[in-house]
Amino acid sequence: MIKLTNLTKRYGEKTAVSDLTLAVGRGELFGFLGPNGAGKTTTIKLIMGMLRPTSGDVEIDGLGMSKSAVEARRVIGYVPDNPYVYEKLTGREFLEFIGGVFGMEKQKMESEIRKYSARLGMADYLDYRTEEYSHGMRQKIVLAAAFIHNPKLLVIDEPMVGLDPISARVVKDIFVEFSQNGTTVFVSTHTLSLAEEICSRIGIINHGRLIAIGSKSDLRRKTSEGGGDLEDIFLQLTGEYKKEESILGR
Amino acid sequence: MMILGGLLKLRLKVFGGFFNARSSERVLKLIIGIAVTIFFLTFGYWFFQYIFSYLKDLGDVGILLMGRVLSLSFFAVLVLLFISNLLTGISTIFNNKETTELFSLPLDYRNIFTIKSIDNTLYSSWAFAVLGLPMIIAYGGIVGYNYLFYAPIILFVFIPFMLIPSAASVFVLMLYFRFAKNINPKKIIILFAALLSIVIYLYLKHTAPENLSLYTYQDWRILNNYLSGMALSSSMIFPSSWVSNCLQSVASGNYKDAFINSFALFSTALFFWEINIILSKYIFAVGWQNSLASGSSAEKQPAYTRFLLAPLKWGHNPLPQNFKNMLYKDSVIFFRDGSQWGQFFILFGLILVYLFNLRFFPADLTDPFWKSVVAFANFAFMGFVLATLSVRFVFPTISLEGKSIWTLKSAPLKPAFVFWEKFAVSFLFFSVLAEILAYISSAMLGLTPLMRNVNYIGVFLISLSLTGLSVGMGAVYPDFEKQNPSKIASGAGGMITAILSLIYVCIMVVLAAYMTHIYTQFITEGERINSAGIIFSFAAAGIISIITFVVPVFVGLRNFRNLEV
Repeated sequence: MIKLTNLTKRYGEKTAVSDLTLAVGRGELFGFLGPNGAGKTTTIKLIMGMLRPTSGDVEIDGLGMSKSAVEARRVIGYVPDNPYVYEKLTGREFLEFIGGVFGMEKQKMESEIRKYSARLGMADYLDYRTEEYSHGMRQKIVLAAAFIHNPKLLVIDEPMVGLDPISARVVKDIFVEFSQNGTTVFVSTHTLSLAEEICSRIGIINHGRLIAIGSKSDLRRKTSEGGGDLEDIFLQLTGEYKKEESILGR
Repeated sequence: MMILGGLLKLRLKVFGGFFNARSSERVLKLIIGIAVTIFFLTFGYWFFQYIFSYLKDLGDVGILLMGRVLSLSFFAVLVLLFISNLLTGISTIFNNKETTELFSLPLDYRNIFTIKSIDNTLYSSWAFAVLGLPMIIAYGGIVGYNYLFYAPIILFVFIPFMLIPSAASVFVLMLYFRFAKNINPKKIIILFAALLSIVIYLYLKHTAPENLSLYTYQDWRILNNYLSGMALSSSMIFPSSWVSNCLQSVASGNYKDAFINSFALFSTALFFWEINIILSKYIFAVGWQNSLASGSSAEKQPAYTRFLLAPLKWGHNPLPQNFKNMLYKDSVIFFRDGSQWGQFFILFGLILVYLFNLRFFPADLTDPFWKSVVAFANFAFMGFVLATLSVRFVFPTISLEGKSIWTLKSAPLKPAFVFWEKFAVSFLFFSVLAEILAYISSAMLGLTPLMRNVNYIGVFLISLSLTGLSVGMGAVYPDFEKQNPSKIASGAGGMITAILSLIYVCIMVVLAAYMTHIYTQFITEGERINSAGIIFSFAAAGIISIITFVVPVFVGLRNFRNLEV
C-alpha cells in the first residue's frame, strides 16, 4: 500500500529524511516511532505529497505521488500533527466539507458523520464553531474527518495528543477495525503503549534514518539485551537516553 | 521602561532575522520589494509633482488650491487612518494570540498595551507613509523647501499626525471592550459604518456640489469655492488642518506658525498616547478579558446566510461539486469573519456615498471638455477603488486558508483547481461590483454612449487584471500564520501587490487621460481625430492588462503548485 524508495528530504544543508526505503502492506497496522526531530512528520508529509522529496519516490496503492498525487490522495485519510481546522466553521460543516471533497454521497456522509461523532463522544458539539473547541475536541474532528470517507490508507501523525482515556481507547479500537477491514494504518506516535498494543509492525527512525523495522519480537532481537518492553527497545535503539545520562553525569 | 525596550528589541531582532536569513527566496523578495517601493515612491513623487506644478502655474489661485488639496487629502487620510486603526486594533491588540501570551508573563499591562499599540499603528499606517511621503516631498520641491526641512517635517509633523488617529481609535476600542462588552462587535461596526456614511452623505450634500457650477463659470476659482465649501476638512479642530497649515507656513517662511502647528500635532499625539497608557493600567486587562469572552458561541446558521448560500446546496445546481463545496466553505467563513465584511461594509458604504453624491452633479453639463474631464476623473476614481478592494479582499484569499491549508494540500484536489476557484469567485464578485459602479456613475454623470462603453470595457479589463494580479501575488506571498486579512494585506506581499496595482491603475488612467485629450480636442477644436493615438492607447491598455494578469497568475500558480506545507 505504501512504498517508499530511497526517500530523501533536505532543507538546505540539513537532512530531515535520509535514503528511507520502506514498504507497508495492505491491512497492516504500522507504527512509526522516533525521538523529536527524527523525521517522522517529514516522512508523513512526503507520503502525503505535501512535501516534495529531494530524491526518491513515494508510491501509494500503486500510484506515484509525484505524478498521480490527486488519485493517490483519494484513498488516504490523513490526520496532521497539529489539528488545525477552519475556525469559523462548525464541526459538522468541516466534516461535510471534507466529505464533499472526497466525493461522498450526502446520505452516506451524514450517516458516517453521525457514526463517528457518536463513537468519539462529540455529537453534542458538532454544531459549535471549531474555534470554541478544546485541543482534544479538534483532534477528534480531524480524526473523524479522516475516518468518514472510509479510506484504504490512514496516515496519522500523533493521534492521541489531547485525547481523554476513553476517547483514546475508542480511537485504538477504530484503528484495529479499519485494519481488520483491509485498511492500512500508518501511525506515527510518541505513545509507545499505543504502538506496543496495536501495531503489527514497527519502524524506528532516528536522525532521518530508519534504524530498525519489524514486529516487536524482531526489534527485541536487535537489541543487545534482547528483552524488555517497547520503551526499553526504543531507548536502546535510539540511544537518546544514554546521551542524556552522560550529559547529566550519571 | 526597560521591559518595553526589551520587547521592542525582540521585535527588531525578529525583523532583522528576516533579512539575515540566508535564503535566496527571501533575498529575491526583498530586492523586488525594495525595487518596487523605490519605483512607486519615484512615481508618486512624479505624480504629485506634476499636479502641484500644474496648480502653481495657475498663479495665486493655484497656490490657494494647493493648500485646499493638501487640507482635503490629509483630512481624508485622517478619517481612513482612524477607521483602519479601529478595525485592525480589534485583532492586533485585543483578540490576539500574542497578547494572550504576553498577559501570561509577569509584565506591566502598560507595557503590553504600548507594544501592541505600536504594532497596530505600524500595520494600519504603512500605506499612508508610502503615499504621503512623495506628496510632501513633491509639495516641498514645488514651493521651494530647503533640504534641511524634510527631516524635521517627517519627525515632527508626519509621524505625530499618524499617531493621533491611531491613539484615538485605540482609546475608543479600550472603552468599548471595557464598558460595552455585551454589545455584539458586528452590530457596532454596522452602526459605526452606517453613521459614518450618513454623516459624510449629509455633509457633502449640504456643502459642496452645487458650488461646482463649472459649466457656468468654467473657472478654477469655482473649484476653489467648492473645496473651501468643504469647511469641515479645513476646520482647525482637525489635525489634518495643522499638517496642511504647517506645510504651507514653512513654504511661506512663516516659521512661527509652522512651529505652533507642529507643536499642536506633537503635543496632541503625546497627550493621546499618554492618556491611553495611563488608562491601560486600569482598564486594558479587563477589556482584553471581555474581548475574549465576546467571541462567537454555538453556531446556528443565521437566516440571511442560509438564504444566500442555499443555491450552493441545491442538487441540480450545474456547478462542479468541488467548486460548490469550496465556495460554500469560503462564503460561510467570509460571512462569519467580522474583520472581513466589517471593512467591506465600510468601503462599500463609502462607494455608495460617492455614487449618491454624483446625483448632485450638474446633469446638464454640456461643455464636452468638462464632460470628458469628469468621465476621466470618474474612471480614475473607480480604478483606485478597485485597486484598494483587490489588495484588501482578493490578495488574502489564499493566505486565509491559514494553518488549515493542510486540508486542501492533503485532499484529492488539484492545486490549480483551488487557485482558479479563488480567482473565479473573486473575479465574479469584483467585476459585477465594478460594472455596477461603472453603470451607475456613467448614468448619473450623463456620459455619452461612447464614453460609457469605454468605461465598461476599461473597468472590466481593470477588474480582470487586478484579480489576476492579487490572486497570483497572494499565491506567491502566502502567509498562513496570520488570520486577520488586513494584516495579510499589509505584509510585504500585500505592499508589493498594492504598489503594482496602483502602478497598473496609474498607467491605465494615463492612457485614459490621453484618449480623453484626443477626444476633447476632436470635439472642442474640431481637429481631425488622432486614430493612431486612439489605437495605440487601446493596444497599450490591452497589452498591459494582459501582462498584469498573465505574469502573476503564471508565477502564482507555479508557486502554489510547489507549495510545501
